[in-house]
Amino acid sequence: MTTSITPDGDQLIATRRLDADPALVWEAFTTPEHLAAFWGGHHATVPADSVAVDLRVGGTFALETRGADGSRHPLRFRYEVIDAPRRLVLTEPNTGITTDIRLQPSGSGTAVTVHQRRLPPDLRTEQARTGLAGILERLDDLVRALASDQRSGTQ
Amino acid sequence: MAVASDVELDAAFAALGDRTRRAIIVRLARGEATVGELAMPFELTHQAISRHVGILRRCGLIQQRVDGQRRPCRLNIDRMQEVSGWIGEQQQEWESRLNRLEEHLAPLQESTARRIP
Repeated sequence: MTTSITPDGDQLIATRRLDADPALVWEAFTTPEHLAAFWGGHHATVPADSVAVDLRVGGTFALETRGADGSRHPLRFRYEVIDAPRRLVLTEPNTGITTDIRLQPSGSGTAVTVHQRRLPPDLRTEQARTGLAGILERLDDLVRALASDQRSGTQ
Repeated sequence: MAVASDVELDAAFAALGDRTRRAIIVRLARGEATVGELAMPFELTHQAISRHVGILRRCGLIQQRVDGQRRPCRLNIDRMQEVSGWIGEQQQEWESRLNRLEEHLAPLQESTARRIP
């Protein structure tokens, strides 16, 4: 998997073209019934009554995922940017992860782009942010190099 | 080694936000080094380097062993892999989420399309 990091430390997580118009995709990302249907992906389910959406800047988006083994994970996000039907930015206070979801018309459908940034509180400065982009890429290189050293027995 | 918690991963990311600590990591990638050896290329005191080493050790990015009078440091490859592997996990999670979204929207979009003559 190739990494691709923008200068401000945003990491490209996913892109997808959906055969649905932006208004419908926006509705899916912002209404509890839809969110319950897809947020857990193929590995977890989300009980519809666990989803709470307070769609305003500063409002909370909360839900609970249940794994196949019955494990429960409550998740809680804060809405940072709400720009229907184009852009939704969420932060997760527990992990410091910012998720930026963008919707763009693409033919008769919608192109969805998801970026994320993981910034602990003391990394939330411009300088640290720029540094983070480089760190992650260098770490990837370093880990790969070290792993191959270990395999060839030079360690 | 135990898998890092979110708190530990956050600490590791925060530790890597510092230029000197990144330089220490890069130096240790070439092999073990004591605090004294690490201090050499930097215009920093032994004490300052010691503090950086302490931060890197507490978040699990490096380990320090006892060898007589020496306390050589080395990288903890497992933790480094966890830090760099975080992106891959998020990518897998979102791939799966968008797959479900695609399946979920398909019949809805069809019924919307039928309503529009």
